[in-house]
Amino acid sequence: MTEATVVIPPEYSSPHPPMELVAQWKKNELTGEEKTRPEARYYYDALAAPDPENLRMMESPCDPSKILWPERINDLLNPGYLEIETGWCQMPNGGGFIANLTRMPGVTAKMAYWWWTWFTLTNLRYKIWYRPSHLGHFISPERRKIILDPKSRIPEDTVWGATHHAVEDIGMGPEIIDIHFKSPEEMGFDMSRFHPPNVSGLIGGYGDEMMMLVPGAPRGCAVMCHILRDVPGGVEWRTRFWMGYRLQNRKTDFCVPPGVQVPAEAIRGLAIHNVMEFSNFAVMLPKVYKEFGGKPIG
Amino acid sequence: MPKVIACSRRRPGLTRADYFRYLQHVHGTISHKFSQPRMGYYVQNHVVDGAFGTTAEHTHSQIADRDAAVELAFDDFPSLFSVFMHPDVEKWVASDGKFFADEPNTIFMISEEYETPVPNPLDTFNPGYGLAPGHGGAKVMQFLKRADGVYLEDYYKYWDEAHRYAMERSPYCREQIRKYVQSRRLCQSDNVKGHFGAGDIPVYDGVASYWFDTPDRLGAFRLYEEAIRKFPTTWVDWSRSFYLYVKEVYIHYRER
Repeated sequence: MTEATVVIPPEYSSPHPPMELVAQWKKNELTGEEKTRPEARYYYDALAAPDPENLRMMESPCDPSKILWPERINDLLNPGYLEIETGWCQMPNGGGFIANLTRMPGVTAKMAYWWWTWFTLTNLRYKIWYRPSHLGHFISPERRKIILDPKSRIPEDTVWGATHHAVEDIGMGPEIIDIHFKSPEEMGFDMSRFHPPNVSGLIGGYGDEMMMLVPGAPRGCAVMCHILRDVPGGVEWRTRFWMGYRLQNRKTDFCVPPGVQVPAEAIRGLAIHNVMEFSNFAVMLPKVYKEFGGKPIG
Repeated sequence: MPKVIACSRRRPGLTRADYFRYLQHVHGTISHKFSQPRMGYYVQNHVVDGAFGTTAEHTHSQIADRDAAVELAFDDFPSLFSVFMHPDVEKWVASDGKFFADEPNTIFMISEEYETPVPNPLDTFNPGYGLAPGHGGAKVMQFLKRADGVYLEDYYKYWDEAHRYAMERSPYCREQIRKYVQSRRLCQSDNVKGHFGAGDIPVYDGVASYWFDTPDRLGAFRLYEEAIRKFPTTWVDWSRSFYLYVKEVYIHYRER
């Protein structure tokens, strides 16, 4: 990867990392400064093995007639399970659907909200989550002020309403993803039903992505929903992606032009990546939280 | 609702009269034929006057004339696509642009609107105005170029803060402004800008629209504009920003 091959259009929403830095991230090398940080040791931990059953279910597409459509997002608040809890497919309208259920012993919603506050401050923390694909992560100066403000509430101020800029490579080359996190209400959830036992937390919003090495590639978008449900000893982490959608005024809006289909390889790539990154997340988070969770965010 | 904004200038060889006549009576007529139920409105904003950059500069750093800015609002993206990707629209409407616009220099964006309430949405002079709150006979469109190095989300935060800052410091504007809407650019703009033949032109992440009762009240905007430029945080490249005084010409308007 050389800088000359990279085209980042001027309309990209935010300052982007220099490609030399991205290239260094690709090499999975930590900087000298990163190596001195206490959380760096988690970078070298062996990756957690993904659930083989979940991986198997991501090998081929699921039945599109059984998926949860974004307009029915409140079905995630029902007790029990939906027809597809793990799987992916191309949607009949051209969109992409992903579901993934990860059981996370020892994890709580409070830990998840803490992580989504704490990790945003450095690239290193994003990388220790899942180093093979997570290349870098950055937030704006104003967002950083909010994260570092001891008066900020977790998750109301620090997670919901945040915009993250993640650089990851899930097999199609590095891409920058602007992720706009939303509150449950902004996601369109019925707040009269948004409480235990069927839900204990939400990390969700929508993202816009841009391929860094493909000049002129269409800008993709997706609505993302990680909904947490307490189970004895931990949480169930129920993920949904609706690719080709964005959020506005608490509703999803389908942004893919007629005749265009989100490519199957892009959906499958994200689905498998999701299994891998959250398998590792489930093991990594309790350890990191135990060491850093009680301390001021910084 | 996603809204398309395209800001163009007339093609070489046309007078402003030629341009406005064609835009309204030819292009507008053709376009109106393809209006559909999920289209909120299509308004042509014909430019009366405007200013580009600031008086601190001795010469313009970029194109310094714009003749119209059109806005087409839709209920959702599928309805936007159903118009812009309709074969007849591509055949008749998109291909018509070259007859009046300098297409490669058209500023294009898909945006979404954020309206901020104003203190006095109604003129109290004539009670009949109560039938149409938030409307005005004079409109300003301000194209705000994001300063280099500013994150988009911070730009929007500063925009809101700068607006409040300017409103506090320009009481005449606060009194006279009848409606204020921010149009914020969406990244989906990159996927469909071909319709307007837009080339490699500057990207504007935001357009502010201000409504006043009559053109003689536009001095209120000048006070506001001076005030907003004094907002202490750098968020806009003022030398590459501009504003237009426009006359609204509605081609399609769906009753609510």
